[in-house]
Amino acid sequence: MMPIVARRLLVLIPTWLGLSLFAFTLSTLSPGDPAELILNRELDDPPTPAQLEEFRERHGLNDPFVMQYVTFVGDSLRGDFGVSFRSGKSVREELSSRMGPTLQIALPAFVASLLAAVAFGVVAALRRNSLGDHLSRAVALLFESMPSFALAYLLIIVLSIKAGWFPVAGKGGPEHAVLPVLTLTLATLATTMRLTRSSLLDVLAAPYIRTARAMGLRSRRVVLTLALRNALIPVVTVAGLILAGFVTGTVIVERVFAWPGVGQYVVDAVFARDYPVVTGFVVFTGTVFVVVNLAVDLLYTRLDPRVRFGRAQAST
Amino acid sequence: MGRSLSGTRARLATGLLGMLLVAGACSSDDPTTTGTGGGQADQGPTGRQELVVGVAADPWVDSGEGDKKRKPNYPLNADVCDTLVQLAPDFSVVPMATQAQYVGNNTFRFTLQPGVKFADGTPVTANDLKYSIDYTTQAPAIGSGFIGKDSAKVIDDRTVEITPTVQNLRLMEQINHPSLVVLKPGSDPLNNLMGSICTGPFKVESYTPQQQLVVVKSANYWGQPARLDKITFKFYPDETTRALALQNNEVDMIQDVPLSILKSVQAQPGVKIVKAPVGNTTMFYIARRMSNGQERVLNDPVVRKALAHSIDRNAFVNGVLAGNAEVIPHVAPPAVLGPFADQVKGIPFNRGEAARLLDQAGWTRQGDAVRTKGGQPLRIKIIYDRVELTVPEFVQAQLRAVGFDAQIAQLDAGAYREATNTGDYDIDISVPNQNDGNPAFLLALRWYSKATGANAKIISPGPGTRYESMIDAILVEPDATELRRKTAEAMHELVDVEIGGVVLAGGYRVYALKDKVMGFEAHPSSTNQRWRTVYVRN
Repeated sequence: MMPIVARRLLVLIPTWLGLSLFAFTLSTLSPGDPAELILNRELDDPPTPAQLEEFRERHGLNDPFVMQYVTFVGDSLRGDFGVSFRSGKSVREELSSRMGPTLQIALPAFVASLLAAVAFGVVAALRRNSLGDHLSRAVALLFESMPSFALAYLLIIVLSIKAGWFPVAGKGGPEHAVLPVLTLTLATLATTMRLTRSSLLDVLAAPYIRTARAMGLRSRRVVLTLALRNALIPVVTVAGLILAGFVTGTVIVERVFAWPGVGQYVVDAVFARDYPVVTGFVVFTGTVFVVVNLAVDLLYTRLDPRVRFGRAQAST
Repeated sequence: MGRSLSGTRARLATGLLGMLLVAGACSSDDPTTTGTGGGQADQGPTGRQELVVGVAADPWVDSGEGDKKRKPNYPLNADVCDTLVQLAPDFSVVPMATQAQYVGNNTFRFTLQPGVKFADGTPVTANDLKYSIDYTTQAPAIGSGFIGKDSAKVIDDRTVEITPTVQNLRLMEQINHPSLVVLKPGSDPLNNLMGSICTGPFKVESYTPQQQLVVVKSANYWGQPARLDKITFKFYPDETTRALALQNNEVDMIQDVPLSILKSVQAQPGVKIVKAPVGNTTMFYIARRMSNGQERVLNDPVVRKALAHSIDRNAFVNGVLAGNAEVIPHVAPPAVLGPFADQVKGIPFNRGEAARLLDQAGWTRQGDAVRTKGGQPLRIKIIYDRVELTVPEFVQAQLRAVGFDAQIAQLDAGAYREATNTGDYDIDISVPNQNDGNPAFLLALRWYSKATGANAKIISPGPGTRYESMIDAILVEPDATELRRKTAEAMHELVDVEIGGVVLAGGYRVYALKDKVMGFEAHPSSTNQRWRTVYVRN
């Protein structure tokens, strides 16, 4: 296993470098001089040429592009994404302080979404074309089709105002996290559930499943130990993307529920052209996706022993 | 704020919420709500007095475009600090922690009121006032421009004098801004809120970024004590969530009720709506030239007048703002002009006259096509800041009706700033607030070519004009009444003669309160809102 992980990590290096180059170039090429933008905000009078020059020098904006990029990569590898133009505070610290609340809703939502989707997907596949199958797919599709803010408002109206079970918004006890978690869960349920269903149906139609059944294995064992394991491979791929999406911020949900996470912070930074924050976040986001993808790849080998890295063809 | 949700998404959201709120209000069986008014005799404050207020995003963390210099020391006015003088709801300036007077030679004297104390019980001295003024004049706090560094001098234990570094007889009207509050030396509220000490009727008990600010009654307040024991300000970045929190009794009142759901909120049992007097204007500035001197199409006064004739303000107020605003011609709240407000007339809506003027200016039209002149289309670029997309869309439709090819540019904060600095726009729609007592504040800030901002050069009538000499005179006028009269004249010159901008509406802050909330007096300027008179009927 370790050589596999090492090989995968080596492949990730150029991926990460490409991502960081993209993020850095994007920020650098954006129109407008950061020095002028920031100093115009901070000073009462328009900045003097000397003040502009001092700002550029202090933030390394006068260095050649390559040198700026190399410095950025070196700092990023140490987890230093620079200092926010707006607040003057460390980008790493600002992102970290907001990552906790985001994870508090992202992880439960991910677990709930995955468990519910797999459970409903399995039931729907085993009872294909039954009323329950149609109903569960229709309801899941309904939630997925709704914009997340509309779903959030709907849940607030029904579960907070009508039922009185949960607070409308804000961060406090665990009850405050229920509605944001539920919103994220329902919004992503349908994709995973339908994938589980269709994938399981494909696997159940495979010859080895018929053979297993012909050999007299109990249906539950066939489904849970043979079919589901193989059916989960595409589900794991999608689940990885959903997790990465949750962790890197869910702007609308955080805003509606007044949840102090990373999403809203980054949106504000984008509008304010706070380049260090935006670049740092893009690199962080990319890193999360890269790591999650690695985890997904490794999980493949657990789910399907035929999958081996570095071999062109699965063994038979 | 509104840029986080797109305009379409926001409209969908508010529409959906409006329907749901109506449904919720009609079927509410909440026994704690008693209907508007309640019919109970007010016994004054009794029992433990606590209030929960739903406010917008945490201004210490989210200052919109991250503009530090726009942040007052206390960006959320929780009545924790007193100012030297204060702005009354009619925009007059009255004493607060100090009595103030102009003593000549560009010098203002501020003498402490008897018994002024900090929240920790220590008496305030003139040295403390000097610290407060010096703190404010240091970047990044707002408002230092009109004072200048090292302009405060201690005269005796109770008196300081301020001599602005430039001639500025408007200091008295400007210094009531809550950016300049009385602070105990060592306080740094922008960066260390909990470690700062003030003189107000409340003091900060706790602050949880992006969640809430809690203030409690100060036992050492030197003036009339607050009636509330505790106020919790909860931050809700999403305005519709704020309204839902009110409906769910999680807060007792909310600020900035979205106009699109105002009727639905008002229909909730036990809720009353309080509107402040007009405190802002929705208007657009007109760019005449770029920062490099190149003239833009609206440099032609005839085209500017045609443009002003093209806008149906009644349709804007009744349609876009659902009647929740006033049709006014003034670029600042009319109350700041006192009895002289009538001098400003505004350009009436008249599409026929607009078309005639454009024809006269050589911009001709075939049918419903865009007007052209020498083969060039009559194209104007609209930018906007802090308004919903519906506002520029309304202006665009009005201008297209008379043959302008009006294009809306949706810009982020940085691009918007760049456009206003370079003059790469024709119309800039914005909502300036009047937060101080200087009636000429906006006139001198935005249209005066000697103002420091780059945008002033782009939109001002320019040096040597009658308007410019009027502002010169206003800046050195010592008498308050004469100041208002001269400002009204200058505003008339700007709006009716120069067409330096077109006012769409006068706006006000809208609060929704539970019936039990009493004594709340909505100030036209939210940064000058006071909470000391508020109490709850238990």
